[in-house]
Amino acid sequence: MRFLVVEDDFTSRRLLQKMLSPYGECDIAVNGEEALTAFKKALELDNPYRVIYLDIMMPEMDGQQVLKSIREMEDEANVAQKDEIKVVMTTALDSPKDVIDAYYRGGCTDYMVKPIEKKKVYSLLVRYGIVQDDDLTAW
Amino acid sequence: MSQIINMTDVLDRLDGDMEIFRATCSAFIEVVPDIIAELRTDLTNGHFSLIARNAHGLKGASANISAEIFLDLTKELETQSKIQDNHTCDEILTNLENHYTKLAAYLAENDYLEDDL
Repeated sequence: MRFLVVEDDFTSRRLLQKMLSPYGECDIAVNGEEALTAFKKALELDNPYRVIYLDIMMPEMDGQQVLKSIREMEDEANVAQKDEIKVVMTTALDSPKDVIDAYYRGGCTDYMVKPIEKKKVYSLLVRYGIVQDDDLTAW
Repeated sequence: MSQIINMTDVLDRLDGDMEIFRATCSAFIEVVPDIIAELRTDLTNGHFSLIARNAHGLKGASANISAEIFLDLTKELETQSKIQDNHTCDEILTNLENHYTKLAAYLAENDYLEDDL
């Protein structure tokens, strides 16, 4: 099981890494360019990430641009829709418009509002079938 | 009234997980001094867009550990940097620098940092 956390904020990266590490390997990208490189490499090695946590607001290439590129790469690689990577956008409370755009135009799977809640991270892992609902021991 | 750290809020959000809380506080202490120093340089050089961006980043970082006073100051700094008020930005930044010292001491005294820090 592999996760990719894409965040320019160091504390948010550490927070998500600590939450996800009981469930698998957690790679980190600090900007959009690094995220796309990591995603492409994972596709080429046939060892894809299961979930990407993607910050919407990042300098240079923002989360929505990264998401669009990810979906384009999946199309080019003929990834079936059911196998598309889960992309969870992370956003601050004051940027709801960005979330709506990402949902309806960019093809993100879910979103989380920052500061991130542990229960929200867990509920999404349950929804994606990564952990069982009654598997509370790791938490 | 804002608190240095709102423990009720942060532990509710982290489901009582002190290990995650300590890791996040430690990350905060590792990176914030450099960002505050950058803010001071950016203010000296009148780079308000960089101040707004860094203040926004600090806002998120302080929200992660429910550092409410620090969060209030970063919100104010972000707002004032957008209207390019040099004098007010300077005052807020000085308050932020002073409060950071208190916050770092508070985290250390209460054993909220990882052991290797």
